[in-house]
Amino acid sequence: MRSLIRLIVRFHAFLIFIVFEIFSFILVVEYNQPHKSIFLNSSNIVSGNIFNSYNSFIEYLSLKQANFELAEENALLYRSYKPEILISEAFEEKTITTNEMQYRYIPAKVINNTINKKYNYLTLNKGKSDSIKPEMAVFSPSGVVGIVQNVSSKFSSVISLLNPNMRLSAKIKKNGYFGSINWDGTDFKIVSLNEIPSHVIVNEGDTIVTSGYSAIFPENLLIGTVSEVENEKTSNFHSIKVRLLASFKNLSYVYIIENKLFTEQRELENLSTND
Amino acid sequence: MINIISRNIFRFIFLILLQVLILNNMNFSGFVNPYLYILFVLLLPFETPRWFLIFTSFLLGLSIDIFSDSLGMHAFASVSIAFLRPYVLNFISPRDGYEPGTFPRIFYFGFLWFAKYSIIIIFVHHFFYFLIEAFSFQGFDFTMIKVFLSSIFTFIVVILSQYLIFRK
Repeated sequence: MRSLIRLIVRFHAFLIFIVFEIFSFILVVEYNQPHKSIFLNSSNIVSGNIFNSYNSFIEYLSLKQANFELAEENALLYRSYKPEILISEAFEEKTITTNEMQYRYIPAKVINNTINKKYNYLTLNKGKSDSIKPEMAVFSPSGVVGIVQNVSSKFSSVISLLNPNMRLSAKIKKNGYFGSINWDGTDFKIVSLNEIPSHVIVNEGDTIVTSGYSAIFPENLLIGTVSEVENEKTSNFHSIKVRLLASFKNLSYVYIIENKLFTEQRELENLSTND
Repeated sequence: MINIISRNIFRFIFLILLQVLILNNMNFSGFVNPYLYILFVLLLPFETPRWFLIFTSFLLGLSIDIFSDSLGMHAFASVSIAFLRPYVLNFISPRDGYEPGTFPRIFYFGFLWFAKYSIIIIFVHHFFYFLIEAFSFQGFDFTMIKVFLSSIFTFIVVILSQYLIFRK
């Protein structure tokens, strides 16, 4: 005790200095509004830039994988590309339906990604300056990844599908029955699909896609395949395990989907829920 | 002794009023502004206890802040120079130390000593003040330009004040 007092007496100036500096700093942050937002934001920029430069080292290691994925995707696009149709359509006068222009795809790079935590998030290198807003869908060529949650000027953080807070409306592709996808926080390859009634026949290997019942995701984006079906006798619902198609462990390039009719749909839905 | 205390209280009030009423409105080319009020910290006697130095500097900075709507910023910068002042004085002390009865002025220690002393203190103060005002390392070069220009300006005013007002 005596030595503690001696220590305090010896360093009293330094302690007072620290106390007053912290107090001033709190004053600055509390009473100067722009500083408050910058304080939160600048830390975001710092962490974002650190991740970005770290990623520029790491990305060489996964270059082969990224190339392969892009090539696969190109092949897929070539397959669906039918030259004769496009040419004839180009010369025909036609009205563009809202569906065709409803979604805009923005490529982005994953600069931070976790799979081993309970609440996993990703960071992408696109932000407010690329007109990214919260609640936009994120998907990789192989499957759904998550939903944009927060946006800074240059980066955006995405709530991963591997996050118990994330709920996703999904359906079985072959018969259209829909349920919700949820992660239980254990295996990063497996999610569970709930609320599928037990009379529906579900087989292992069935494809699960997005239902399109939310304003966020377009319809028929791949999620995964059924890996296990358990039918509990006491329950009216199947408990289905779905093996994800997107490999979260080595995500590199993803697409952010902007639904141009998002606000319109939300407003309409809010109108009816308010009644 | 009483004389010294009353003189310092007077200086405290005088410098705050001078700063907020006149000098704060002198925005040369938009951002170059002398912060003469730290002259109070510069001129406190050598024997001032360190806790008292920090405490009064905090009060000084806070008063300036209240008048100029920048709560905490001047206080932060002032407290940091008050903490540093004893180390600076130690660092540039003359060969035979500071004799009792002397004050940190040009009159006692000459122009060169006072210039060194005030430049260090002014630069540190301005550096912390402008950094916390910008509150980010973005545009750090512009912040540093502000720091240098305002430091030069404050230094000139401090030196002038030594010859005009606080001669002894």
